[in-house]
Amino acid sequence: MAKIGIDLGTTNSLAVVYKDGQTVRIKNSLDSYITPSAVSIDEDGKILVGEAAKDRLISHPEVSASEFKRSMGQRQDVVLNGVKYTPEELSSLILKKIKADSEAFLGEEVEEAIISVPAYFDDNSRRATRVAADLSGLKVERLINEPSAAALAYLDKNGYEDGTYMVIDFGGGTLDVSVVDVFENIIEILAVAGNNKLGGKDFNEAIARDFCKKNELDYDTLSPAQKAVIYRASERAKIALTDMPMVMMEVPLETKKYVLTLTNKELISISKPIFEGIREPVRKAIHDSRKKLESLDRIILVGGSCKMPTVREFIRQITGITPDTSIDPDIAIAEGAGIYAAMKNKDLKDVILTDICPFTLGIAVNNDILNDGSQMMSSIIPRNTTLPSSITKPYSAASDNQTKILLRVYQGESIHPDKNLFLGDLEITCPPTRFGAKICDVKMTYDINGILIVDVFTADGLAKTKAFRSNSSVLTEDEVEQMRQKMEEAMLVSPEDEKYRALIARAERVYEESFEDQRFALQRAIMVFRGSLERRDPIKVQQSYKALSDLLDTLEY
Amino acid sequence: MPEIFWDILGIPATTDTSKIRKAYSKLVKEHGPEDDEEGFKKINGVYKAACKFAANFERLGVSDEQIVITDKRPDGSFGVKFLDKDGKPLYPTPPSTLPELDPRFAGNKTAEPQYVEDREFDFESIDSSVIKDYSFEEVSERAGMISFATGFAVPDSPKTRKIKKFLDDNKIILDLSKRVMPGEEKDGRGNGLRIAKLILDSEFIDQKVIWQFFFTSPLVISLRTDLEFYRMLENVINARKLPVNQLIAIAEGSGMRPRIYTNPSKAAESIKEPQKAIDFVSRVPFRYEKGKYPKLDEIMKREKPEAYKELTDFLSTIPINLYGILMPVVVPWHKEALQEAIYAFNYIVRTPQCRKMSEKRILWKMFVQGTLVRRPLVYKEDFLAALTKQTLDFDIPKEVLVAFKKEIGKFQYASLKRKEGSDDQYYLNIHASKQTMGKGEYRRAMSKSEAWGTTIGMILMTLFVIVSVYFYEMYLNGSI
Repeated sequence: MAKIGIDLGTTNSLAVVYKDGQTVRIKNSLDSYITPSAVSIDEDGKILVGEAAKDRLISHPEVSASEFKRSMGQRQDVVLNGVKYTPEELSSLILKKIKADSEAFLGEEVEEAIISVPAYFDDNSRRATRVAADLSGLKVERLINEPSAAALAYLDKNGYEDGTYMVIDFGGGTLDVSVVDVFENIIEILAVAGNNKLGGKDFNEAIARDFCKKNELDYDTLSPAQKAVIYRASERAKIALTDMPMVMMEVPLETKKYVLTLTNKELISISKPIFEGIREPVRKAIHDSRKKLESLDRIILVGGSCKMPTVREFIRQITGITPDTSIDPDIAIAEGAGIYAAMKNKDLKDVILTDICPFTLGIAVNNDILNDGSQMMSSIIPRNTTLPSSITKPYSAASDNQTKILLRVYQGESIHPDKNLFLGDLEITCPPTRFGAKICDVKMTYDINGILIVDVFTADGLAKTKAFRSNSSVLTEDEVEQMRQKMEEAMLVSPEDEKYRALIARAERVYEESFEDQRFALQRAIMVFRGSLERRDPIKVQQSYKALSDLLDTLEY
Repeated sequence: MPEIFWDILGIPATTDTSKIRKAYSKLVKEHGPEDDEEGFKKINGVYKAACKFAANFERLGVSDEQIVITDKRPDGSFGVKFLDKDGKPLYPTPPSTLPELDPRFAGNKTAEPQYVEDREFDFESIDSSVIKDYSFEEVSERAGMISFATGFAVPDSPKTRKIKKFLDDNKIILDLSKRVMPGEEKDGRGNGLRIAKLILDSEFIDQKVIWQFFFTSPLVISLRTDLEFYRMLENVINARKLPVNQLIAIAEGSGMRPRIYTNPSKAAESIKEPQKAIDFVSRVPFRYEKGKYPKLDEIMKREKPEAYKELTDFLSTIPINLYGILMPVVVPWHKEALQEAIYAFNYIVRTPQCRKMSEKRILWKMFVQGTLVRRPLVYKEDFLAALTKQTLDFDIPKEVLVAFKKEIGKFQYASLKRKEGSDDQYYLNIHASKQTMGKGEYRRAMSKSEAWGTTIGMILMTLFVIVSVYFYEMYLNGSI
């Protein structure tokens, strides 16, 4: 029984297993390491996941979804083909696919996994990730923070060299910055800061908006399909700018061809807020780690967006250190998760990772200075506390003869509780005391699995304990049960079928993006391939498959 | 014997972090966070405490033998004594107040600058050729791009290449964010001043552009809120007794308008002699060109198209840099902004052409909405108080004041008072002491008068109904 590490990303997901002292990437049924995090419903109600679904985002946007990681734990449902799907359900489909692929690749059952999450995922999003894993039939005991995983992957390759590192994980949808201290094979995460709403997707959107602006189109009023075409072209332009000084975007919409030339310099000027968004987490992480910028030995970049030369240069400019890009930014996180799985399994001895809680946990208390009935936050576990951790704080009565306490638990940095994330509450009765006298002790324990336990000790002993476990407050048991049934009914396409469907989806996407003169040849090739599939002639299928994929390769640069 | 954290770590008290780490790593491998949660919590707490101890007393430079634990208390705390090499107690000395500056700049020390109190511009000696070289285009480009990171997005031109060479030759790295993060003002301040001195000492001709580099470098931007830095910088510059050309170049490069006065009394004086100031400003050979000042255009476009056209036409005819006055470019956090605002006010009410435009409110609209008046809220009270005082002894036509009142009255109580013994001369009365009138308050005040209107309407309606019923009954009774 194998234990795998999974990077469940905003745009792409992949899995890694640690075998015989090294990491092995798991290939999926399409013979690729990377599975795009996209889901699409086929005409016959079957569910497509991965490359095929990503292509169908353009040809069938109304039955396809991606980037749902951004709304994990936020109850933003997506309607596909008339059926509502929660982000948890969609993520579980991807995990299910990864599980099936891993089992086929490894030839053994996979039951347990370590899933990486952005360090700045709040408690709700973490719980949602666990629910998704649960729905897909994977046992997930531990979630690992993405920058910690990236640090592990880097250090595993470089022999756990002592020093202080900064890991910047700039992925498709999130940005995490962490400061890591390594000594004597102990990897200590000192501080984490980030922005879970900033990512490579924002560059795509900025380019798409600029494209529309320059061509006098209104981005907001375009149809979803047109938007998707422009968006995809923007993404391609962004990627092309990695090696080229200038790219030309050509997008055919309806009957007209729209063109935009883009240089890295222009990319900088249209996406300035995104760059500015990188600066703050870097500053905050350094500040929280109590280190100086000059004491950093190395800056490690991971995540797809760090491939962009402008991003690298910006980071070099604001830190003055040339960042290290020696590890593959796409797979580092999955590798780290795989290494962590091995560490947990005791396959990798003598390496210890101590992680932190990236946000402050506390309770709401009466504002005794203003005394106007307003409440303020009293933090118990401050941010960047090493996990596991338990901290006790005494609290006093707010009025004479107080016999009841309503403890409301929050997560966040604001002094106003209502601006923070509400995690739950518990009500306690206690012996009456006078105003200002000590009424209880509150003990908060945040363990390494991300479970928060709140104990309240009153004068007559332990009064009440509440554990804020996974899926306790956001989703009810019934909801989870419903989801489970729905997901068991969900049918994934069989692997060989998937290969063909993926090719058709890609062809249809390319068809929409291509110009009239290219369309004829493409149309013909698709028809031939479809016909051979229907006739179930294996040799013809082989031939037409190759013909179509060759044609697609030439059409796409 | 109570156990203190050194006992748990199993080492004697030390200020050497590596020793603490070694002990910690040995313990953690036995009690990892995965296997022994309680054990790890304890060890981690102890480790953090030991690190704090080391960080606090590292600067004493004492060896382990010189640290003596005097007593151990049951709660885990302890007393500590430091000895010197002869075994006598050594008392901790406070840390040196200022950290050492970056050694790259240490060699260029000059005598401490003195503040020059009364320094005047020699208006006659301005050589306009110095300024002519640079178009405003460069300034706007700078606003968008250079602030990003110096040397990275700067437009490539022969001029900038020359400057880059100068920076390289002198090993000046304006991108000092690598050394100083925002928030550490002390280091940043010192380094900023040193670089400024270096530039001043160089005989570099393109002063304006290099000051642009300086003022938009991440280092100086990070000092944006540090007023003390700007004051010190001013002292440094004033101490040099630079020619006026160079001072103008610095001011232009910094985004500030050339400063005609250095202290408030001088400012008041030059306002008393407005012709002098106007003459000076009109020497600056810039003209408004449409589309070059996006912010200004944006504000004006919100107005009626014909008014916008009129204003742009007007701006392109006058030979002065009105843009610089109204949408300045004075750093809005600078206290100087107050003087600039008063100066702009005076300029508008005094120049005949401007006065004509201001009657139509559009110039006032620019004035009130512009960054100059809106941004330095800190000085708002001062500004209004100064305005009230300033305008009293001027003859301002009623129309101009009415227009001003209408504009500024949107968020401020303002009223006109007739000058004693005069029929057509008024002065402005602004209640500077009162709180700014919010949008909601204004609306409430409006609705109050509307409410009165409604009440009177209702009474009239009721009367009408009563009267008509009365006549109707009379009609039924056959009286009519």
